[in-house]
Amino acid sequence: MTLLRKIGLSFRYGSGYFVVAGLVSLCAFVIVGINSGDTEGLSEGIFICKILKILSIPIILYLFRKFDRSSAIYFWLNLGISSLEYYVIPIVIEYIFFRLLIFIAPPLFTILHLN
Amino acid sequence: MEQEDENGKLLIDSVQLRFGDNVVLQSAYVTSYKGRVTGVLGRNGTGKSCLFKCIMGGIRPQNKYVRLNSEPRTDYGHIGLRVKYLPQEHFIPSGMTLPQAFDLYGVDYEGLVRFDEKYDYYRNHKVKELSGGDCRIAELYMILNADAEFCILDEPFSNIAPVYDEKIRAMIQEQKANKGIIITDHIYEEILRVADDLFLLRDGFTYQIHSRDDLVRLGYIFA
Repeated sequence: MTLLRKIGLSFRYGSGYFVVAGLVSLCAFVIVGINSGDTEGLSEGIFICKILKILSIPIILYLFRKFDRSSAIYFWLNLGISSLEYYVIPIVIEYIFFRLLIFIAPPLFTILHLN
Repeated sequence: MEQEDENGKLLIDSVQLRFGDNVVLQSAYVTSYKGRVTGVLGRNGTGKSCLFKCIMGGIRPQNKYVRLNSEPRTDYGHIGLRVKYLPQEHFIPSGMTLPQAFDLYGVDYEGLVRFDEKYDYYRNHKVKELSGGDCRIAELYMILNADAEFCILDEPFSNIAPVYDEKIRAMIQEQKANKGIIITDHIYEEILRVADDLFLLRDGFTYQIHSRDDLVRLGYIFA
């Protein structure tokens, strides 16, 4: 099974994780964007957002493991996804999305301020 | 019956599993051959399901050794490509329809409709809308008919109406021509009927069973 196929499947089994973690990323995007006018505040905002994002990952994962049916993982393991990939792929994909949002937030909010 | 052919063989050996002070498996082993049904018996809490979950990677044991055929190395992480597992509980995501699940597993849904016509009606229903028994039959059909070298069935006869027992036994016998099947259930008469080889899990160890007397001697059933 290719990595692309595994990523595609992760959007199916990890949809709940993507929604909740995506909301956290959007909050970070707004915080970084609001602070984008102030250089000192921007770097501080990015640092705090990264810390909060990293701390939120195990909490969200714990909640999904607690409320998800424990046997549901075997549906995906049977398809050739390893138990490590089952958890890591959604985390990595969503973290890339978070970094992308943090990266585009300052220029985007600056343009919005100028307009 | 002991077979020497290494091809078409699944060997699970030296499985050690404990949760804190609770030792579940000490040195469990099971061997399965293509073309044969291997029954695994054991009282509640003897670690049958844990053994299967260890094989699939859902539980990480302290030690395990799994070998497919005569291959020197086993890709433990992706064993699901070669071994399909039916857990005790429902495992198809509840928001999915049966045809969607069958499509992912590469199994023809029309085969299930031929197995029982009522599944034609369930075509557009989500799994959460199905009864436990109907869902169980669909899951069992999907696992047995999926492309795999071996399949592991954890309590396939539970939650299923007796009218299906015969059809399920026939399906197991039909599918064992293409793969090795490991099966466990507390309805041990069903296991005795379908199994070619038998193992009993007790006190964390595996015992090979040759006759009903062995089951009595090892305290699984009364004389």
